[in-house]
Amino acid sequence: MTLPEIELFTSPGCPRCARMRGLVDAYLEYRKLPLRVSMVDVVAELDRAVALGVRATPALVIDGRLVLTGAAAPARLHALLDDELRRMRGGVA
Amino acid sequence: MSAEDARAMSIGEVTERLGLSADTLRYYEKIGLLPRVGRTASGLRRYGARDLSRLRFIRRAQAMNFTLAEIGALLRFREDPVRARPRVRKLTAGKLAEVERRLAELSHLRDELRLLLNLCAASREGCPVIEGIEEAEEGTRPRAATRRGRRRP
Repeated sequence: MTLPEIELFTSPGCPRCARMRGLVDAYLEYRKLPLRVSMVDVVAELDRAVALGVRATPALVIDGRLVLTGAAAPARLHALLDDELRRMRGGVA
Repeated sequence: MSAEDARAMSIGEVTERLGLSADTLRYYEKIGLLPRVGRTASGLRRYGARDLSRLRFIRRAQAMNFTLAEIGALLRFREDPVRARPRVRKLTAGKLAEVERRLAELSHLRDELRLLLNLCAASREGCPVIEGIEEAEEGTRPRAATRRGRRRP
C-alpha cells in the first residue's frame, strides 16, 4: 500500500504557512494517520510550483495535485483532507 | 469620396498610431510587403483599413522574430488561404507551432511572476520583486509618469 504524499508549499516570511503546517499536523494526529508533511520552499521549486498551479502560499499538494491555496479554517481543512484522503486507497474510512 | 477613403490615414498618422517610421512604411511598400498604397491627387500616401491590418500583422510577426521573407509568405497566405501553395501552408503551420511554443513560455512566465508577486504581498519583509520592477520602470518611464508611480518611503 502506498501512502499519499502531502506537500506544503511555503515561502519565506509567510506567517500563514506555519499556521497551515500546524493545522495539517493536528489533523494527521487526530486521524492517527502515519503521514508526514513535506515542506517545500516555493522559491526553490518555482518551476514545479507553477506547473502544479500554485499561485500563492501556503499551498497544499497531495500526490502531485494542488488541493488548497491560502489559509483555511480548521473545520474546512479537516473536511477537505477527509475528502481527499478518502479517495485514495488506504485513506480515511 | 467613399467612407473608406474618408477614414484613410496619412503616413504621419500611421507612424504615430503604429510606432513604425515613415521610412519603414515606404520600404515595406517598395519590397511588396504592402501593395501599392493609395495616393491623393497631390501624390500623398493614404493608408486604408486593409493596409493598417497588414501593418499590424507585420509588426506582430516581427516581434516574433520572423524574417521579412517569411512575413511576405504569411501575408500572401493571409490574403488567400484557400489557394495557398503547400510550401506556404507548411511554413504557416511551422510558424503557428512557434507562436504556440512562445505562448506556452509566456504563460509560464506570467504564472511565475504572478506567484512571486503574491508571495511578496503575503510576506512581512516587503517585496524585492515589486521594488525591482519599479526601479527598472523608473529608468524607462517619462518623468511625469514616474512622479505618479508608487515610491518607496
